[in-house]
Amino acid sequence: MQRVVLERGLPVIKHALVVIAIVAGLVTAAKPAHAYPQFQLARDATCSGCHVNPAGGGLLNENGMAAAEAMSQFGDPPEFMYNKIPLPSWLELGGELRNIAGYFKSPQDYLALFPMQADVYAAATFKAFQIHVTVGYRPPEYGNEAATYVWSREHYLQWQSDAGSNEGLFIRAGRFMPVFGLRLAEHVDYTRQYGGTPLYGETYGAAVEYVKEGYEAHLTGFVHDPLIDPVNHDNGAAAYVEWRPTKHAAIGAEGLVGVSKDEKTYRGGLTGKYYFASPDVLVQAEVQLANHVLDAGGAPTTLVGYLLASHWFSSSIMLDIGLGHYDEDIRVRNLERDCIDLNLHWFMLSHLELILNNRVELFAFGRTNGNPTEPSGGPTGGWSLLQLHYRL
Amino acid sequence: MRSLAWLALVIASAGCTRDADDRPKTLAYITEAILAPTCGKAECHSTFAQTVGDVFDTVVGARYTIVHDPLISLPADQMAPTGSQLYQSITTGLPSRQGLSGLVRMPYDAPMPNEDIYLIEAWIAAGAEGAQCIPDNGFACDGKDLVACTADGNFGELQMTCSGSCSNGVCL
Repeated sequence: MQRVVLERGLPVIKHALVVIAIVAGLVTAAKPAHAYPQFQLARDATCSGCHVNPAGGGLLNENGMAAAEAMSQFGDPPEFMYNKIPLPSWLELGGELRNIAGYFKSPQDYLALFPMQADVYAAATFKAFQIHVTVGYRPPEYGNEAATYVWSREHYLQWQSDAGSNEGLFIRAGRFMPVFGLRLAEHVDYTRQYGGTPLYGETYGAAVEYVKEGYEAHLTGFVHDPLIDPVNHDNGAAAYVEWRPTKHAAIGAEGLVGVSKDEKTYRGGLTGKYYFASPDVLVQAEVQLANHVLDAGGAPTTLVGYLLASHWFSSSIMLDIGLGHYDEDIRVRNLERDCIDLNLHWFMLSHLELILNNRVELFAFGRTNGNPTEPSGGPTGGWSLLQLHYRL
Repeated sequence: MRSLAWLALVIASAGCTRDADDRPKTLAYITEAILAPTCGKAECHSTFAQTVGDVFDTVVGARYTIVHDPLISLPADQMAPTGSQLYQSITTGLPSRQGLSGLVRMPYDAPMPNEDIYLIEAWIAAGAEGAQCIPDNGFACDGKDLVACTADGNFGELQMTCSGSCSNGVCL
Protein backbone atom coordinates (compact mmCIF):
# COMPACT_ATOMS: atom_id res chain seq x y z
CA MET A 1 0.00 0.00 0.00
CA GLN A 2 1.82 3.06 -1.14
CA ARG A 3 0.84 5.55 1.42
CA VAL A 4 2.48 8.56 2.81
CA VAL A 5 3.53 7.45 6.26
CA LEU A 6 4.62 9.68 9.06
CA GLU A 7 5.71 8.39 12.36
CA ARG A 8 3.56 9.57 15.18
CA GLY A 9 5.19 11.74 17.75
CA LEU A 10 8.11 12.89 15.67
CA PRO A 11 9.13 16.16 17.27
CA VAL A 12 10.57 17.51 14.04
CA ILE A 13 9.27 16.22 10.75
CA LYS A 14 11.60 16.28 7.85
CA HIS A 15 9.49 18.64 5.80
CA ALA A 16 11.11 18.11 2.44
CA LEU A 17 10.86 14.36 2.76
CA VAL A 18 7.27 14.60 3.81
CA VAL A 19 6.33 16.85 0.92
CA ILE A 20 8.05 14.57 -1.55
CA ALA A 21 6.38 11.55 -0.02
CA ILE A 22 2.95 13.20 -0.07
CA VAL A 23 3.29 14.17 -3.70
CA ALA A 24 4.56 10.71 -4.54
CA GLY A 25 1.68 9.14 -2.67
CA LEU A 26 -0.87 11.36 -4.35
CA VAL A 27 0.15 10.25 -7.80
CA THR A 28 0.83 6.63 -7.08
CA ALA A 29 -1.90 5.03 -5.06
CA ALA A 30 -5.35 5.45 -6.50
CA LYS A 31 -7.92 3.07 -5.08
CA PRO A 32 -11.37 2.76 -6.51
CA ALA A 33 -14.41 2.50 -4.37
CA HIS A 34 -17.99 2.14 -5.42
CA ALA A 35 -21.33 3.48 -4.40
CA TYR A 36 -23.25 1.98 -1.58
CA PRO A 37 -25.15 -1.29 -1.44
CA GLN A 38 -26.56 0.18 1.75
CA PHE A 39 -29.06 2.00 -0.47
CA GLN A 40 -30.47 -1.21 -1.84
CA LEU A 41 -33.81 -2.14 -0.25
CA ALA A 42 -33.59 1.00 1.89
CA ARG A 43 -33.73 3.37 -1.09
CA ASP A 44 -34.18 1.25 -4.20
CA ALA A 45 -34.68 -2.40 -4.98
CA THR A 46 -31.72 -3.03 -7.24
CA CYS A 47 -28.25 -1.68 -8.04
CA SER A 48 -29.42 -0.89 -11.56
CA GLY A 49 -32.13 1.28 -10.06
CA CYS A 50 -29.46 3.95 -9.52
CA HIS A 51 -26.51 2.82 -11.64
CA VAL A 52 -25.93 2.31 -15.32
CA ASN A 53 -24.00 -0.84 -14.48
CA PRO A 54 -26.31 -3.74 -13.53
CA ALA A 55 -23.79 -4.75 -10.86
CA GLY A 56 -23.75 -1.28 -9.31
CA GLY A 57 -20.95 1.24 -8.91
CA GLY A 58 -19.69 3.85 -11.32
CA LEU A 59 -21.99 6.01 -13.38
CA LEU A 60 -25.35 7.02 -11.97
CA ASN A 61 -28.46 6.88 -14.08
CA GLU A 62 -31.15 9.53 -13.98
CA ASN A 63 -32.78 8.03 -10.91
CA GLY A 64 -29.42 7.74 -9.17
CA MET A 65 -28.63 11.38 -9.77
CA ALA A 66 -32.05 12.40 -8.48
CA ALA A 67 -31.38 10.35 -5.36
CA ALA A 68 -27.96 11.97 -4.94
CA GLU A 69 -29.54 15.39 -5.01
CA ALA A 70 -32.43 14.48 -2.74
CA MET A 71 -30.25 12.98 -0.04
CA SER A 72 -27.55 15.64 0.00
CA GLN A 73 -27.71 18.27 2.70
CA PHE A 74 -27.12 21.19 0.36
CA GLY A 75 -28.40 19.87 -2.92
CA ASP A 76 -26.84 21.12 -6.12
CA PRO A 77 -27.31 19.97 -9.72
CA PRO A 78 -26.34 16.29 -9.62
CA GLU A 79 -25.49 15.91 -13.28
CA PHE A 80 -21.98 15.54 -14.66
CA MET A 81 -20.07 18.79 -14.07
CA TYR A 82 -23.28 20.37 -12.73
CA ASN A 83 -24.84 20.11 -16.18
CA LYS A 84 -22.52 22.87 -17.40
CA ILE A 85 -21.18 20.66 -20.17
CA PRO A 86 -23.96 19.51 -22.48
CA LEU A 87 -23.62 15.93 -23.58
CA PRO A 88 -25.30 14.13 -26.45
CA SER A 89 -28.06 11.81 -25.34
CA TRP A 90 -26.05 8.69 -26.21
CA LEU A 91 -23.09 9.64 -24.01
CA GLU A 92 -22.75 9.62 -20.24
CA LEU A 93 -19.65 10.85 -18.45
CA GLY A 94 -18.68 10.85 -14.82
CA GLY A 95 -15.86 10.32 -12.46
CA GLU A 96 -14.85 10.00 -8.86
CA LEU A 97 -12.05 11.33 -6.71
CA ARG A 98 -11.36 10.00 -3.25
CA ASN A 99 -8.64 10.90 -0.82
CA ILE A 100 -8.16 9.78 2.73
CA ALA A 101 -5.96 10.74 5.66
CA GLY A 102 -5.65 9.78 9.28
CA TYR A 103 -4.19 7.51 11.89
CA PHE A 104 -3.14 3.86 11.67
CA LYS A 105 -2.10 1.45 14.37
CA SER A 106 -0.59 -1.79 13.15
CA PRO A 107 0.61 -2.01 15.99
CA GLN A 108 3.00 0.84 15.30
CA ASP A 109 1.46 4.29 15.11
CA TYR A 110 1.34 6.13 11.81
CA LEU A 111 -0.21 9.17 10.27
CA ALA A 112 -0.98 8.62 6.62
CA LEU A 113 -2.36 10.47 3.63
CA PHE A 114 -3.12 8.75 0.36
CA PRO A 115 -5.45 8.94 -2.62
CA MET A 116 -8.04 6.22 -3.07
CA GLN A 117 -9.45 6.89 -6.47
CA ALA A 118 -9.10 9.13 -9.50
CA ASP A 119 -11.31 7.67 -12.20
CA VAL A 120 -13.22 8.98 -15.18
CA TYR A 121 -16.18 6.98 -16.50
CA ALA A 122 -17.76 6.97 -19.91
CA ALA A 123 -20.71 5.03 -21.26
CA ALA A 124 -21.92 5.26 -24.83
CA THR A 125 -25.32 3.81 -25.69
CA PHE A 126 -26.35 2.63 -29.12
CA LYS A 127 -29.84 1.18 -28.85
CA ALA A 128 -29.45 -2.05 -26.85
CA PHE A 129 -25.65 -1.86 -26.72
CA GLN A 130 -23.48 0.09 -24.33
CA ILE A 131 -19.73 0.55 -24.17
CA HIS A 132 -18.35 1.27 -20.70
CA VAL A 133 -14.84 2.55 -20.09
CA THR A 134 -13.16 3.56 -16.84
CA VAL A 135 -9.80 5.29 -17.01
CA GLY A 136 -7.79 6.48 -14.06
CA TYR A 137 -4.71 6.38 -11.93
CA ARG A 138 -3.38 3.17 -10.46
CA PRO A 139 -0.44 2.39 -8.18
CA PRO A 140 2.49 2.13 -10.57
CA GLU A 141 4.38 -1.10 -10.87
CA TYR A 142 7.83 -0.86 -9.35
CA GLY A 143 10.44 -0.69 -12.08
CA ASN A 144 7.84 0.07 -14.75
CA GLU A 145 6.42 3.30 -13.42
CA ALA A 146 6.36 5.24 -16.66
CA ALA A 147 3.96 2.79 -18.27
CA THR A 148 1.74 2.05 -15.31
CA TYR A 149 0.43 5.25 -13.75
CA VAL A 150 -2.72 5.25 -15.87
CA TRP A 151 -4.88 2.32 -16.83
CA SER A 152 -8.35 1.25 -17.72
CA ARG A 153 -9.68 -0.70 -14.78
CA GLU A 154 -12.93 -1.53 -16.52
CA HIS A 155 -13.92 -1.64 -20.16
CA TYR A 156 -16.69 -3.78 -21.51
CA LEU A 157 -19.44 -4.08 -24.05
CA GLN A 158 -22.92 -4.61 -22.70
CA TRP A 159 -26.12 -5.69 -24.35
CA GLN A 160 -29.47 -5.54 -22.62
CA SER A 161 -32.72 -7.04 -23.70
CA ASP A 162 -34.85 -4.06 -22.72
CA ALA A 163 -32.94 -0.98 -23.82
CA GLY A 164 -33.26 1.89 -21.39
CA SER A 165 -34.72 -0.24 -18.64
CA ASN A 166 -33.16 -1.09 -15.29
CA GLU A 167 -34.35 -4.67 -15.60
CA GLY A 168 -34.08 -7.59 -17.93
CA LEU A 169 -31.30 -9.60 -19.42
CA PHE A 170 -27.81 -8.12 -19.53
CA ILE A 171 -24.82 -9.66 -21.27
CA ARG A 172 -21.40 -8.17 -20.74
CA ALA A 173 -17.97 -8.96 -22.15
CA GLY A 174 -14.74 -7.24 -21.31
CA ARG A 175 -12.84 -6.25 -18.19
CA PHE A 176 -14.87 -5.91 -15.00
CA MET A 177 -15.25 -7.35 -11.52
CA PRO A 178 -17.22 -10.60 -11.48
CA VAL A 179 -20.47 -10.12 -9.57
CA PHE A 180 -20.10 -11.99 -6.31
CA GLY A 181 -21.51 -11.42 -2.85
CA LEU A 182 -22.59 -8.15 -1.29
CA ARG A 183 -20.14 -6.03 -3.31
CA LEU A 184 -19.61 -3.56 -0.48
CA ALA A 185 -17.97 -0.30 -1.40
CA GLU A 186 -15.02 -0.40 0.96
CA HIS A 187 -12.37 -2.79 -0.32
CA VAL A 188 -11.12 -3.32 3.23
CA ASP A 189 -14.39 -4.96 4.26
CA TYR A 190 -13.42 -8.52 5.05
CA THR A 191 -15.71 -10.17 2.55
CA ARG A 192 -14.05 -8.17 -0.20
CA GLN A 193 -10.49 -8.25 1.07
CA TYR A 194 -10.46 -11.96 1.85
CA GLY A 195 -13.55 -13.07 -0.05
CA GLY A 196 -12.49 -13.18 -3.68
CA THR A 197 -13.23 -9.61 -4.85
CA PRO A 198 -10.18 -7.65 -3.72
CA LEU A 199 -9.15 -4.18 -4.75
CA TYR A 200 -8.26 -4.12 -8.46
CA GLY A 201 -9.49 -7.71 -8.76
CA GLU A 202 -11.13 -7.05 -12.12
CA THR A 203 -10.63 -9.74 -14.75
CA TYR A 204 -11.50 -10.26 -18.37
CA GLY A 205 -14.68 -12.21 -18.76
CA ALA A 206 -18.20 -12.58 -19.98
CA ALA A 207 -21.29 -12.33 -17.81
CA VAL A 208 -24.92 -13.23 -18.25
CA GLU A 209 -27.09 -11.33 -15.80
CA TYR A 210 -30.83 -11.16 -15.24
CA VAL A 211 -32.24 -8.43 -13.04
CA LYS A 212 -35.85 -8.06 -11.93
CA GLU A 213 -37.31 -6.24 -8.99
CA GLY A 214 -37.86 -9.48 -7.12
CA TYR A 215 -34.66 -11.29 -7.97
CA GLU A 216 -31.43 -11.20 -9.90
CA ALA A 217 -28.88 -13.70 -11.09
CA HIS A 218 -25.33 -13.21 -12.33
CA LEU A 219 -23.03 -15.76 -13.92
CA THR A 220 -19.51 -14.74 -14.93
CA GLY A 221 -16.71 -16.66 -16.58
CA PHE A 222 -13.36 -14.96 -16.23
CA VAL A 223 -9.65 -15.17 -16.97
CA HIS A 224 -6.86 -13.20 -15.38
CA ASP A 225 -5.63 -10.19 -17.29
CA PRO A 226 -2.96 -11.45 -19.72
CA LEU A 227 -1.90 -7.91 -20.72
CA ILE A 228 -0.56 -6.64 -17.40
CA ASP A 229 0.78 -8.06 -14.15
CA PRO A 230 -2.63 -8.55 -12.52
CA VAL A 231 -3.95 -8.63 -8.97
CA ASN A 232 -6.22 -11.57 -9.61
CA HIS A 233 -4.28 -14.57 -10.96
CA ASP A 234 -7.29 -16.86 -11.28
CA ASN A 235 -9.24 -18.20 -14.18
CA GLY A 236 -12.68 -19.47 -13.29
CA ALA A 237 -16.34 -18.74 -12.83
CA ALA A 238 -18.48 -16.87 -10.32
CA ALA A 239 -22.20 -17.04 -9.68
CA TYR A 240 -24.47 -14.96 -7.50
CA VAL A 241 -28.23 -15.12 -7.11
CA GLU A 242 -30.40 -12.92 -4.94
CA TRP A 243 -34.07 -13.29 -4.19
CA ARG A 244 -36.15 -10.54 -2.66
CA PRO A 245 -39.25 -12.19 -1.21
CA THR A 246 -40.54 -8.88 0.15
CA LYS A 247 -39.81 -5.26 -0.56
CA HIS A 248 -37.50 -5.11 2.44
CA ALA A 249 -35.79 -8.49 2.45
CA ALA A 250 -33.27 -10.30 0.29
CA ILE A 251 -31.39 -13.55 0.53
CA GLY A 252 -28.61 -14.64 -1.76
CA ALA A 253 -26.21 -17.43 -2.55
CA GLU A 254 -22.77 -17.26 -4.09
CA GLY A 255 -20.22 -19.62 -5.55
CA LEU A 256 -16.83 -19.15 -7.15
CA VAL A 257 -14.18 -21.44 -8.55
CA GLY A 258 -10.76 -20.00 -9.32
CA VAL A 259 -7.69 -21.75 -10.65
CA SER A 260 -4.22 -20.20 -10.64
CA LYS A 261 -0.72 -21.58 -11.07
CA ASP A 262 -0.41 -22.03 -7.32
CA GLU A 263 -3.84 -23.11 -6.10
CA LYS A 264 -7.44 -23.94 -6.77
CA THR A 265 -9.99 -22.00 -4.75
CA TYR A 266 -13.58 -23.02 -4.12
CA ARG A 267 -15.81 -20.44 -2.48
CA GLY A 268 -19.40 -20.75 -1.36
CA GLY A 269 -21.50 -18.46 0.75
CA LEU A 270 -24.76 -16.83 1.67
CA THR A 271 -25.95 -13.28 1.88
CA GLY A 272 -28.92 -11.71 3.60
CA LYS A 273 -30.38 -8.23 3.78
CA TYR A 274 -33.28 -6.79 5.72
CA TYR A 275 -34.49 -3.23 5.95
CA PHE A 276 -36.21 -2.17 9.14
CA ALA A 277 -38.27 0.75 7.94
CA SER A 278 -39.27 2.17 11.30
CA PRO A 279 -35.78 2.76 12.71
CA ASP A 280 -34.50 3.21 9.14
CA VAL A 281 -31.86 0.53 9.53
CA LEU A 282 -30.60 -1.79 6.83
CA VAL A 283 -28.85 -4.94 8.05
CA GLN A 284 -26.90 -7.04 5.60
CA ALA A 285 -24.58 -9.96 6.09
CA GLU A 286 -22.39 -12.29 4.09
CA VAL A 287 -20.68 -15.47 5.21
CA GLN A 288 -18.35 -17.46 3.02
CA LEU A 289 -16.34 -20.64 3.33
CA ALA A 290 -13.43 -21.15 0.97
CA ASN A 291 -11.21 -24.14 0.41
CA HIS A 292 -7.79 -23.40 -1.03
CA VAL A 293 -6.21 -26.49 -2.54
CA LEU A 294 -2.54 -25.68 -2.87
CA ASP A 295 -0.69 -27.43 -5.65
CA ALA A 296 2.34 -27.90 -3.41
CA GLY A 297 0.31 -29.45 -0.59
CA GLY A 298 -2.09 -28.17 2.04
CA ALA A 299 -5.70 -27.16 1.76
CA PRO A 300 -6.64 -24.50 4.30
CA THR A 301 -10.30 -23.72 4.71
CA THR A 302 -10.98 -20.09 5.35
CA LEU A 303 -14.05 -18.52 6.88
CA VAL A 304 -14.95 -14.92 6.25
CA GLY A 305 -18.04 -13.01 7.30
CA TYR A 306 -19.25 -9.47 7.51
CA LEU A 307 -22.31 -8.03 9.21
CA LEU A 308 -23.21 -4.44 8.41
CA ALA A 309 -25.94 -2.28 9.93
CA SER A 310 -26.65 1.09 8.35
CA HIS A 311 -28.82 3.80 9.85
CA TRP A 312 -29.83 7.13 8.42
CA PHE A 313 -29.99 9.88 11.03
CA SER A 314 -31.31 12.15 8.31
CA SER A 315 -31.37 11.96 4.55
CA SER A 316 -27.76 13.16 4.44
CA ILE A 317 -26.18 11.38 7.41
CA MET A 318 -25.61 7.63 7.31
CA LEU A 319 -23.88 5.55 9.96
CA ASP A 320 -22.44 2.12 9.19
CA ILE A 321 -21.47 -0.30 11.92
CA GLY A 322 -19.73 -3.40 10.62
CA LEU A 323 -18.51 -6.57 12.25
CA GLY A 324 -16.01 -8.65 10.32
CA HIS A 325 -14.59 -12.09 10.96
CA TYR A 326 -11.79 -13.79 9.05
CA ASP A 327 -10.16 -17.07 9.87
CA GLU A 328 -7.36 -18.01 7.50
CA ASP A 329 -7.45 -21.66 8.59
CA ILE A 330 -10.34 -22.84 10.70
CA ARG A 331 -8.33 -25.80 12.01
CA VAL A 332 -5.73 -23.69 13.76
CA ARG A 333 -6.22 -21.77 16.98
CA ASN A 334 -5.70 -18.06 17.34
CA LEU A 335 -5.64 -17.26 13.64
CA GLU A 336 -9.09 -15.69 13.58
CA ARG A 337 -9.25 -11.94 13.30
CA ASP A 338 -12.25 -9.74 13.96
CA CYS A 339 -12.95 -6.11 13.33
CA ILE A 340 -15.44 -3.50 14.32
CA ASP A 341 -15.94 -0.81 11.72
CA LEU A 342 -17.71 2.48 12.27
CA ASN A 343 -18.14 4.65 9.21
CA LEU A 344 -20.02 7.93 9.31
CA HIS A 345 -21.10 9.38 5.95
CA TRP A 346 -22.15 12.96 5.39
CA PHE A 347 -23.63 13.58 1.95
CA MET A 348 -22.93 17.27 1.98
CA LEU A 349 -23.58 18.08 -1.67
CA SER A 350 -24.86 16.08 -4.60
CA HIS A 351 -21.24 15.69 -5.62
CA LEU A 352 -19.44 15.78 -2.30
CA GLU A 353 -19.33 13.34 0.58
CA LEU A 354 -17.25 13.24 3.75
CA ILE A 355 -16.70 9.93 5.47
CA LEU A 356 -15.15 9.17 8.82
CA ASN A 357 -13.79 5.61 8.64
CA ASN A 358 -12.83 3.82 11.85
CA ARG A 359 -11.73 0.27 12.57
CA VAL A 360 -10.56 -1.73 15.55
CA GLU A 361 -9.13 -5.13 14.63
CA LEU A 362 -8.09 -7.87 17.00
CA PHE A 363 -7.03 -11.50 16.95
CA ALA A 364 -8.54 -14.47 18.74
CA PHE A 365 -11.40 -12.32 20.06
CA GLY A 366 -8.85 -10.31 22.01
CA ARG A 367 -7.88 -13.19 24.26
CA THR A 368 -4.87 -12.43 26.39
CA ASN A 369 -3.75 -15.75 27.72
CA GLY A 370 -1.76 -15.54 30.92
CA ASN A 371 0.18 -18.63 29.99
CA PRO A 372 3.32 -17.46 28.21
CA THR A 373 3.62 -20.78 26.39
CA GLU A 374 0.26 -20.20 24.73
CA PRO A 375 0.20 -16.55 23.73
CA SER A 376 -2.79 -14.73 22.39
CA GLY A 377 -3.48 -14.17 18.74
CA GLY A 378 -1.56 -11.01 18.12
CA PRO A 379 -1.53 -7.26 18.59
CA THR A 380 -4.64 -5.16 18.20
CA GLY A 381 -4.69 -2.73 15.30
CA GLY A 382 -7.00 -0.20 13.73
CA TRP A 383 -7.40 3.16 12.10
CA SER A 384 -9.32 6.40 12.15
CA LEU A 385 -9.44 8.14 8.79
CA LEU A 386 -11.24 11.02 7.16
CA GLN A 387 -12.21 10.43 3.55
CA LEU A 388 -13.18 13.02 0.96
CA HIS A 389 -15.25 11.78 -1.96
CA TYR A 390 -16.02 13.99 -4.92
CA ARG A 391 -18.15 12.87 -7.85
CA LEU A 392 -17.72 14.71 -11.12
CA MET B 1 -32.61 -13.05 9.52
CA ARG B 2 -31.92 -16.73 9.14
CA SER B 3 -28.66 -16.00 7.37
CA LEU B 4 -27.66 -13.77 10.26
CA ALA B 5 -28.28 -16.62 12.64
CA TRP B 6 -26.15 -18.87 10.47
CA LEU B 7 -23.41 -16.30 10.44
CA ALA B 8 -23.38 -16.14 14.23
CA LEU B 9 -23.46 -19.92 14.49
CA VAL B 10 -20.61 -20.46 12.06
CA ILE B 11 -18.48 -17.76 13.65
CA ALA B 12 -19.12 -19.13 17.11
CA SER B 13 -18.35 -22.68 16.07
CA ALA B 14 -15.16 -21.71 14.30
CA GLY B 15 -13.31 -21.24 17.54
CA CYS B 16 -14.43 -24.44 19.23
CA THR B 17 -12.40 -27.40 18.06
CA ARG B 18 -8.92 -26.58 16.86
CA ASP B 19 -5.92 -28.72 16.06
CA ALA B 20 -2.36 -27.91 16.88
CA ASP B 21 -0.57 -26.00 14.18
CA ASP B 22 0.45 -28.75 11.77
CA ARG B 23 0.40 -26.54 8.72
CA PRO B 24 3.01 -27.30 6.05
CA LYS B 25 6.30 -25.50 6.54
CA THR B 26 6.78 -24.78 2.87
CA LEU B 27 7.15 -21.64 0.84
CA ALA B 28 4.09 -22.56 -1.20
CA TYR B 29 1.87 -22.81 1.86
CA ILE B 30 3.29 -19.76 3.59
CA THR B 31 2.92 -17.69 0.44
CA GLU B 32 -0.63 -18.66 -0.41
CA ALA B 33 -2.05 -18.87 3.10
CA ILE B 34 -0.14 -16.11 4.89
CA LEU B 35 1.87 -13.75 2.72
CA ALA B 36 -0.55 -13.31 -0.17
CA PRO B 37 -3.56 -12.19 1.92
CA THR B 38 -1.57 -9.95 4.24
CA CYS B 39 1.51 -8.72 2.35
CA GLY B 40 0.49 -9.33 -1.26
CA LYS B 41 -2.52 -7.02 -1.39
CA ALA B 42 -3.06 -5.13 -4.62
CA GLU B 43 -1.58 -1.84 -3.53
CA CYS B 44 1.32 -3.40 -1.60
CA HIS B 45 3.57 -6.31 -2.55
CA SER B 46 1.41 -7.75 -5.30
CA THR B 47 2.60 -8.66 -8.75
CA PHE B 48 0.52 -5.65 -9.78
CA ALA B 49 2.35 -3.00 -7.75
CA GLN B 50 5.56 -4.72 -6.58
CA THR B 51 6.18 -2.01 -4.01
CA VAL B 52 9.95 -1.58 -3.46
CA GLY B 53 10.36 -4.51 -5.84
CA ASP B 54 8.92 -7.13 -3.50
CA VAL B 55 6.22 -9.61 -4.53
CA PHE B 56 4.37 -11.89 -2.14
CA ASP B 57 1.19 -12.93 -3.94
CA THR B 58 2.72 -15.78 -5.95
CA VAL B 59 5.12 -18.54 -5.00
CA VAL B 60 7.58 -17.59 -7.73
CA GLY B 61 7.45 -13.93 -6.74
CA ALA B 62 7.87 -14.64 -3.03
CA ARG B 63 10.82 -16.96 -3.70
CA TYR B 64 12.57 -14.36 -5.80
CA THR B 65 11.94 -11.62 -3.23
CA ILE B 66 13.11 -13.67 -0.27
CA VAL B 67 16.25 -14.94 -1.97
CA HIS B 68 17.15 -11.81 -3.88
CA ASP B 69 16.73 -9.21 -1.13
CA PRO B 70 17.76 -11.43 0.82
CA LEU B 71 15.10 -11.69 3.51
CA ILE B 72 16.53 -15.03 4.62
CA SER B 73 20.26 -15.72 4.59
CA LEU B 74 21.07 -19.40 4.76
CA PRO B 75 22.52 -21.14 6.63
CA ALA B 76 22.99 -18.38 9.22
CA ASP B 77 19.29 -17.59 9.62
CA GLN B 78 18.42 -21.26 9.93
CA MET B 79 20.40 -21.28 13.17
CA ALA B 80 18.81 -18.04 14.37
CA PRO B 81 15.53 -17.40 12.51
CA THR B 82 14.63 -14.38 14.59
CA GLY B 83 17.67 -12.63 13.14
CA SER B 84 16.41 -12.93 9.57
CA GLN B 85 15.23 -9.84 7.74
CA LEU B 86 11.90 -11.53 7.08
CA TYR B 87 11.25 -12.24 10.75
CA GLN B 88 12.35 -8.82 11.86
CA SER B 89 10.24 -7.06 9.25
CA ILE B 90 7.06 -8.63 10.68
CA THR B 91 7.99 -8.23 14.35
CA THR B 92 10.26 -5.40 15.40
CA GLY B 93 10.36 -3.68 12.03
CA LEU B 94 13.23 -2.69 9.74
CA PRO B 95 14.52 0.63 8.45
CA SER B 96 12.29 1.95 5.69
CA ARG B 97 13.37 1.28 2.12
CA GLN B 98 11.37 4.29 0.95
CA GLY B 99 13.46 6.84 2.80
CA LEU B 100 11.26 7.34 5.83
CA SER B 101 12.89 7.53 9.23
CA GLY B 102 12.40 4.95 11.94
CA LEU B 103 11.58 1.27 11.80
CA VAL B 104 8.68 0.05 9.69
CA ARG B 105 6.87 -3.07 10.80
CA MET B 106 5.02 -5.03 8.14
CA PRO B 107 2.24 -5.33 7.26
CA TYR B 108 1.65 -1.74 8.21
CA ASP B 109 -2.08 -1.60 7.60
CA ALA B 110 -2.90 -4.50 9.95
CA PRO B 111 -0.85 -6.77 12.20
CA MET B 112 -0.04 -10.37 11.36
CA PRO B 113 -1.27 -13.07 13.76
CA ASN B 114 1.30 -14.49 16.12
CA GLU B 115 0.65 -18.05 14.92
CA ASP B 116 1.69 -17.05 11.42
CA ILE B 117 4.85 -15.45 12.72
CA TYR B 118 5.65 -18.64 14.65
CA LEU B 119 5.08 -20.73 11.53
CA ILE B 120 7.39 -18.52 9.49
CA GLU B 121 10.01 -18.77 12.24
CA ALA B 122 9.70 -22.56 12.29
CA TRP B 123 9.88 -22.69 8.50
CA ILE B 124 13.13 -20.72 8.50
CA ALA B 125 14.52 -22.91 11.27
CA ALA B 126 13.70 -25.94 9.13
CA GLY B 127 15.70 -24.54 6.23
CA ALA B 128 13.19 -22.27 4.44
CA GLU B 129 12.03 -25.01 2.09
CA GLY B 130 11.28 -23.57 -1.34
CA ALA B 131 13.10 -20.29 -0.75
CA GLN B 132 16.71 -21.46 -0.63
CA CYS B 133 17.62 -20.33 -4.12
CA ILE B 134 16.24 -19.10 -7.44
CA PRO B 135 16.03 -21.90 -10.01
CA ASP B 136 16.65 -19.57 -12.93
CA ASN B 137 20.09 -18.79 -11.56
CA GLY B 138 21.11 -22.44 -11.96
CA PHE B 139 23.59 -22.46 -9.09
CA ALA B 140 23.53 -21.28 -5.53
CA CYS B 141 25.72 -21.11 -2.47
CA ASP B 142 24.61 -23.28 0.40
CA GLY B 143 26.77 -21.27 2.75
CA LYS B 144 30.13 -22.63 1.80
CA ASP B 145 29.98 -24.59 -1.43
CA LEU B 146 28.43 -24.24 -4.86
CA VAL B 147 25.32 -26.35 -5.36
CA ALA B 148 22.64 -26.75 -7.99
CA CYS B 149 19.30 -25.07 -7.45
CA THR B 150 16.33 -27.36 -7.95
CA ALA B 151 13.19 -26.38 -9.81
CA ASP B 152 11.32 -25.94 -6.55
CA GLY B 153 13.85 -23.52 -5.12
CA ASN B 154 15.90 -25.82 -2.91
CA PHE B 155 19.59 -26.60 -2.72
CA GLY B 156 20.50 -29.55 -4.93
CA GLU B 157 23.59 -31.56 -5.65
CA LEU B 158 27.04 -30.30 -4.85
CA GLN B 159 28.60 -28.73 -7.93
CA MET B 160 31.91 -27.49 -6.58
CA THR B 161 33.68 -27.35 -3.27
CA CYS B 162 34.85 -23.81 -2.78
CA SER B 163 38.32 -23.41 -1.38
CA GLY B 164 37.42 -19.99 -0.10
CA SER B 165 33.95 -18.62 0.32
CA CYS B 166 30.91 -18.80 -1.95
CA SER B 167 28.75 -15.83 -2.83
CA ASN B 168 26.00 -15.14 -5.38
CA GLY B 169 26.43 -18.54 -7.02
CA VAL B 170 30.18 -18.21 -7.49
CA CYS B 171 33.16 -19.67 -5.62
CA LEU B 172 35.42 -16.82 -4.55
